[in-house]
Amino acid sequence: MASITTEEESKLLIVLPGDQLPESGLMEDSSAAHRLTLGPGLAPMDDDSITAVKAGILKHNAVGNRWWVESNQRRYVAAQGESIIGVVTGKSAEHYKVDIGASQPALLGVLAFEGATKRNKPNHNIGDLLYCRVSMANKDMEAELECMNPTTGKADGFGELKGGFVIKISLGLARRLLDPKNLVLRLLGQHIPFEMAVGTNGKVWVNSASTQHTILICNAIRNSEYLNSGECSAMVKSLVEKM
Amino acid sequence: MRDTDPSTNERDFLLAALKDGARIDGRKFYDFRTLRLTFGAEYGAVEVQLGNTRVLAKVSCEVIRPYTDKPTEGFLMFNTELSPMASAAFEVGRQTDEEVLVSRLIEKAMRRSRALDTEGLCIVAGEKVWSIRVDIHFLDHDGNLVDAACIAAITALLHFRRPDVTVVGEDVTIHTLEQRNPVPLSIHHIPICTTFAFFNNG
Repeated sequence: MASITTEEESKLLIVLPGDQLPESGLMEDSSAAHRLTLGPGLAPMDDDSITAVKAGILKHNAVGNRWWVESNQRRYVAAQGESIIGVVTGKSAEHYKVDIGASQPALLGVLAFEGATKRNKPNHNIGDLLYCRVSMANKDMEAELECMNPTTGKADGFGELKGGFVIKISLGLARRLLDPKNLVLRLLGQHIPFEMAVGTNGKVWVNSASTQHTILICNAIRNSEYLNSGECSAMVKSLVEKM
Repeated sequence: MRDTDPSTNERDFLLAALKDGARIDGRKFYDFRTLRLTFGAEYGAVEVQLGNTRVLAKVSCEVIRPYTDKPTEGFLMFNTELSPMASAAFEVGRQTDEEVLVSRLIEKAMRRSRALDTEGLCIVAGEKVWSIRVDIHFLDHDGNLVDAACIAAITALLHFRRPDVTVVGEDVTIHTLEQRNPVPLSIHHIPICTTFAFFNNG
């Protein structure tokens, strides 16, 4: 998501579920667009008004006249196209049952890997950690996952995660970690080489050369949730010095 | 949603870290998490925070008839129900092993150790006794619910004040909070629960 301009940042609009936003109000900010794109947290009502369905900060992107609510919660609801980290909890002839932190386990087809055929398919055990993509999700059925990029058919980083450690964080923090300009990860990377995978279901996998480093990185990520940039740098510095 | 076992990666990492002498949140082997007690506005309400685990205990009392075979003993009841608010692993109405463990341990630590003097809860033998009820709510489950619940229960009992009672012959007067200052419960000793684990056969 593109970041909003500084003048919009000064007028933070916090919405609660049930707050109505008049459609005219949302349209006037765009220059020429006649269409309104609603992102997560907003739903259109019958009487042409928009209602917020999540509590959070109302955000706006002039490109495409997009509006959405940036909210935070800890329980994950599967949405299509998201990359998540799951744990294999069961195996059947056709599917793996994968726990992704949602209300129901998700299904991962046994052949949904790069270059998998009936004769040549990867064998995963119960307890394995997988980085997958949600291929289908709706509220009536169990979500379905795949371990490859659907357009190219290549793995693209999806698949089994070996070694390392997994921590559970809030969904808002997970989304912030995906931002390429994230401060705490950049600061940590200056001191410790590590690799990580962020699942939008609130799970982060970290792997580095020693267990001490991995523990340090996990704690730094957890602590960084409510700190601003100054406090973040101070926190990382104090953790690294203790090492 | 049932609680799922940790992944193989987590299990292996945890054991490797323990061999190196570190725990996954940076603590040493014998370090406690920070314990914070917050008292409510009323007597007998306390919230315990053990790291991120949060437990709320609330004590209330009422006057009832005692059992016929124990006419001088009051009642002490604990209610520990784990709700999905604490963790997605718990379900309303379904008792998990953890829930059974917590309630049995609280009963053993508080009731069987006779920390609270139930004979002191008697007002008129055979007719009126105090019944003390401790409700324990689990707000956040980040491990070690048992210790947090025990601390919450005994702290709430220590903090609680019951209304003062005067007995003149057959007349029993239960004073309101405005008439007389409420009276603390008679607690003989303070049981505190501590959990530890053995690793690698000690």
